[in-house]
Amino acid sequence: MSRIIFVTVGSTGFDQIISLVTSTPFLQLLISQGFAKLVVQYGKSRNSFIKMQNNFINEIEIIGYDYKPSLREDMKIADLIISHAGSGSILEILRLYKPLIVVANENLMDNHQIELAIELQSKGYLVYSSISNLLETLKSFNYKNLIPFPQPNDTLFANILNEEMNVDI
Amino acid sequence: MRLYKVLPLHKDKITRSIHLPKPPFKTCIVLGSGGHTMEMLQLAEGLDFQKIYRPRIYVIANNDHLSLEKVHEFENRKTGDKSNKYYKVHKIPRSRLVGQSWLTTPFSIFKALLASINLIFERDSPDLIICNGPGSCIPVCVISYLPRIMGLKWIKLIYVESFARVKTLSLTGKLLYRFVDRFLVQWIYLIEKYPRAEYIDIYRLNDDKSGISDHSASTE
Repeated sequence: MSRIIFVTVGSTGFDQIISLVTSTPFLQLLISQGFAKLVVQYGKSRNSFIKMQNNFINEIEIIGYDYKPSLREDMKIADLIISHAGSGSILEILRLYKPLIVVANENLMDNHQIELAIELQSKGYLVYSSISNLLETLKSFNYKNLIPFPQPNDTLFANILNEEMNVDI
Repeated sequence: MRLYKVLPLHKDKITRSIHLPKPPFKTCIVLGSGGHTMEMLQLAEGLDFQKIYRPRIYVIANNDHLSLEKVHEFENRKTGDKSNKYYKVHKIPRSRLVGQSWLTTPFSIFKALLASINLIFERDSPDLIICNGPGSCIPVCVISYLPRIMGLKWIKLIYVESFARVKTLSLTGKLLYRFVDRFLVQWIYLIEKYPRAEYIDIYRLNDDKSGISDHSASTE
């Protein structure tokens, strides 16, 4: 079993999460859960990433980069994703049916991102965690409890628009 | 006063019906970046591009290369036609870059308004504008009101608040709330606070719970 975990912070940086996922206790937990590869999109948090000391070079491969035009390929190969709370990332990951832990950056001024993560957690599509709880969340993470995200309804918006424009279909 | 008459909440059906065009409609789609662009292309997915909504003009910020790529990808896939001539991209400078000094902001707003004038007062102005919250849609919407006030053309404005806004509107949403013809939100909490808002459950989050979702409109 060689599983892959992908961590993404989006267009800004998120030092705390990068420091945490590259810390020794976190890497140990990943190895014990059968992860053989950690891919990190660290955005502006490069400094937090390169501080890492990987004492487990033979046990877990760690790859990091700042940005890519599309994260889709890294999302697709992952068995578990830890993401910031941006709605674009959340939607993209859920639509690939990937198990997802969302960690909100509580330092951001506006907390509407947390509201979104909590709502989607209450519906069972993802798990929300604070930074301080992330290790515990991962320990008790139950993949089987997650509910697949529904396919979007393509006709709703078209119907409203057709009605507004007086189109008879 | 004319401005009052052309506000959508003033339900003067006569004023509106005079300006009612027939399809196909020249459709202006305002893209933000990242999440905004993704959500907007999802909205456009169900539209009839062949008969009704053409040509399409995608408005993007002039440094947003990613959205530009996404538009081409989306159009090629949806129409199945790589030489598709029914869409184009119109670039608009950002009104304010993150971290830009407030001193130079009036100049960039002016540039954004100019670019919007070019868009709205083209030989054929758009029939409708769809936007979902990036700041760049504000200059476009403001300028689109000029033909309406002058009695030349009623360009329909459709606003869809981002899926990211659960309990509060975005600043763009608050600014445009009273001025757009349809104001759609994706979380039910928002229609309690904003009576003009309509709920649209694109991601079927309430399909399994009766009484909340509009079952007549969902196609299962």
